[in-house]
Amino acid sequence: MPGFIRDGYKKRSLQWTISLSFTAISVISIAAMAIAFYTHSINTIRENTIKENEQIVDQVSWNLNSYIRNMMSISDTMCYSVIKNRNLTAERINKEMNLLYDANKDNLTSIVCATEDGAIVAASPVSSRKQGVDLKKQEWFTKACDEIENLHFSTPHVQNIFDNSNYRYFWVVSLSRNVELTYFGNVQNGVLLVDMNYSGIEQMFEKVNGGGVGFIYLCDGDGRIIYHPMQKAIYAGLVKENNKIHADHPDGAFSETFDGQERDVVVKTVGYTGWKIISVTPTSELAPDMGQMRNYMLMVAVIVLVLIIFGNYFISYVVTDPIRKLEESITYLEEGFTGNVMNEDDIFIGGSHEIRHLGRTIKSMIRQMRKLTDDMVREQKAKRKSELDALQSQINPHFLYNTLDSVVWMIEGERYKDAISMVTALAQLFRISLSKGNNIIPIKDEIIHARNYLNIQKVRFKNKFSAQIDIDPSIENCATIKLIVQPLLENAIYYGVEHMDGEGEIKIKGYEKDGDIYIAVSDNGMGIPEDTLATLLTDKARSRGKGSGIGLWNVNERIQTYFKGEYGLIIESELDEGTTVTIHLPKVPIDEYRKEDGSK
Amino acid sequence: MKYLKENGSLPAIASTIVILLVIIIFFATGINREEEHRHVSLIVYGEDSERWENLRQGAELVCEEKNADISLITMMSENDAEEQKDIINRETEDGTDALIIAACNSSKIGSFIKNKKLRIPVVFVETTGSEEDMKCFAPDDYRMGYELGEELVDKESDIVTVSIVSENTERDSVALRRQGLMDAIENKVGRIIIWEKNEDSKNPNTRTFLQKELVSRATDVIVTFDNSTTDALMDALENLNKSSKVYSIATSDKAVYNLYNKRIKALSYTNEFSMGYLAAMYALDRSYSQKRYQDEVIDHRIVRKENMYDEDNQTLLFPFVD
Repeated sequence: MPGFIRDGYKKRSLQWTISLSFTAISVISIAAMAIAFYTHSINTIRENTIKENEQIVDQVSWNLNSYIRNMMSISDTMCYSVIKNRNLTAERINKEMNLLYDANKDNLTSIVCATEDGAIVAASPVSSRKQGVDLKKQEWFTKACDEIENLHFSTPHVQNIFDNSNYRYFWVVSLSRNVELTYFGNVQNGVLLVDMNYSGIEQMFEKVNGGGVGFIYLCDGDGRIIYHPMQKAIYAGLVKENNKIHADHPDGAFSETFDGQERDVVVKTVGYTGWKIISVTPTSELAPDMGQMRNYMLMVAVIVLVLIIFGNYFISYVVTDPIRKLEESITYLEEGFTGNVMNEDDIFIGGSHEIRHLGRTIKSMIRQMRKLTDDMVREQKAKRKSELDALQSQINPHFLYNTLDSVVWMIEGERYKDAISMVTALAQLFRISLSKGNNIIPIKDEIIHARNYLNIQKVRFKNKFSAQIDIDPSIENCATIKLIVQPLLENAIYYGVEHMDGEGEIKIKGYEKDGDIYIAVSDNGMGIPEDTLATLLTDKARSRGKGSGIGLWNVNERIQTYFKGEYGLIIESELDEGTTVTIHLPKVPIDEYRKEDGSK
Repeated sequence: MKYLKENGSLPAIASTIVILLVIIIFFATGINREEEHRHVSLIVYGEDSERWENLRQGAELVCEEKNADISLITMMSENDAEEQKDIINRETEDGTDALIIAACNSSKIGSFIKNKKLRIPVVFVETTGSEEDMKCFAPDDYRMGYELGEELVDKESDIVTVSIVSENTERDSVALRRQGLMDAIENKVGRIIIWEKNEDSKNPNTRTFLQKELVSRATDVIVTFDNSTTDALMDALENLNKSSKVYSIATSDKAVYNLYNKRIKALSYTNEFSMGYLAAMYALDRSYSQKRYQDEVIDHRIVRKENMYDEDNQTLLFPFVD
């Protein structure tokens, strides 16, 4: 199949393809059928016409034979009953000749008996002979003299024997024969001429040429035309006829192409004369019949075609509509995937068994996909929780190690009260850390936690630093992830104020700004070098696995895991001036959070 | 139908059906439409309708083929242009579908037809309409005259007196024939006399005029160029019981009869059957500008008594009469 057709098919809908293909096949089939039927019908018409023409030719042949036999019998009568053995010296033959002429004058022009010298012995009707006419030079005479045993039929010619007043002339067909003339007991040759009126033959053929298709003409054995409906035009060279070929053709029917015209021809030879009756039917003259047939065929073909086009269209619609609807529902589903509103109930199920099965299969597949997706989400959540728990668990040992280290240090220094106070603070710390398993707690709890932590660290660092906590009361009941302030304090202590010569100062300030919550932990420590500052919240900080980076990275990750987007840590630091790490959280009241969390 | 409307393809299918129906109607009406019956007016000069029998037969043969009928309309006179114009007017007003005209006066009828600006086919026969763009089926008249002159020079001595009957020269055919003959015999015969009827003559009858000329002038050979003049000359000779050698261009039965009787020594004869046939074909053929007929010149031949019954000549001289 050529590429452009294939491409065209690909671009079209299934219904269009089915309709077009079926229609094309139907058109080709109908056309082939119509042509076959039309050809068959035309051939039948032609065969019938030929049969009809054969019958007509037979009829004409019979009539012409009768006519010719009649003329021959006149000639025979004259020859054997009147002229033969008649002593022409003493007896005249005019009376018998006149009788015969009178009896047949409708078909005869004249009867003439002449000697072999061309002298007229008798003639009927009586008429004066033309001056200077030499019968011996006329074809009918010479033929009779040359072949004495035969009867000779001429082609039509103007009689040139007798004078005629009023400029009249006669077209005749001459029947001539040799006769024996008896003078004084001596027999000499003579010629008997029976001039048949040409109009007799003409009328005979004009009758059969009067109606119907085609025409019938008559020629002699050499193809010279005796009668033809277009005879004058043929003589004038205006019309051509294939008479020479027809004359040579044996009797029967055949087809020919002559002068650019297809014709059916029937040839029949007329008995004694060797004349040929030829029926010619130009195929174009069958056109009215053929035209009707063609119209009928065309009409039926077009009606059938229209019905088939409608039928094809309807059937293709019925077949493809469920597929189209299924395709549309899948397209809708695809859109649903992106919009996260996938619903397998929208999948179309209808049409034939196969398409219903396909729909059900797709529906089942979607359901399974959805289940798989849900499972995946669930797994993802579990994974995230596990990761978060792991992050939190990374804090606890770290802090515990440091605190217990401080407690050990106190006990070693026999500062049992301080140790007790620290362990108590630690216990409170852990109580908040647990928070009944909740990761999200009110900010006030987180601040209490921070305060406990600071108390512990103050003990540990012998009040080497002071701490101020300033929390806007309006944010105290807002939600925060637990244990996110404490790592910042830890960093402020260990990397900010621990190594200061003077008193360290740590400030915690909580406030609301632009609808969000900010909790800033500032110290007046050494500050963080710029290159370190740039990597504090990146994976590099995590990979270092120690130092201030890991705590900050953990806190930032936890905030982003829960709240996503712009939330997290903001670190600002200047060397020898101090560092401020600000926690940026969305403002969500803890009650609201819990309600939403509960609904989930 | 709902399905179709949904898909918006109904207009396409409806259009297809309409186109198919149009095609059917076109074919149906095109094939079965019978050629309408038409009428052809064959307007000729002169009052003798039999003189135009061959022409009529030729035209009639075509008319039968083309589902048309033909009427031959003669005049009350030989060459009254006004009468012929009236006839043309009458026929066109009666709604004839084609005109075949043998003009009695080439220039007058030619310009008349040109001015009428007819929307039907108009064909001239036998003689031109003098207008260049008018279709005419006629023999080569100059050639006819010239060849007749050559025959005359060939058969007669170079001292003969030749009288040329100069009648009906308002017809181009006659004028050209005369011109051809004059060119052929000039300086090749003894003397040339022109017999021309005076406009003011009190003897409008051609036969009387010719009798008068025959009696008053001695001549060896008389030449005529058309049927009416030839027939009139034959009558005049018969009336006077005179026998002059006549060379003639004519197609009448009388001319043929007198050819046989040797009153006419040579007859230049044209095929008027072909003329009528081709003119009717041109007038009725749908392909109006058919080139096939553009350059048709009607044949002619010179016939003497000796060869008048030759196979070729007898079909020309003795037409079948139905």
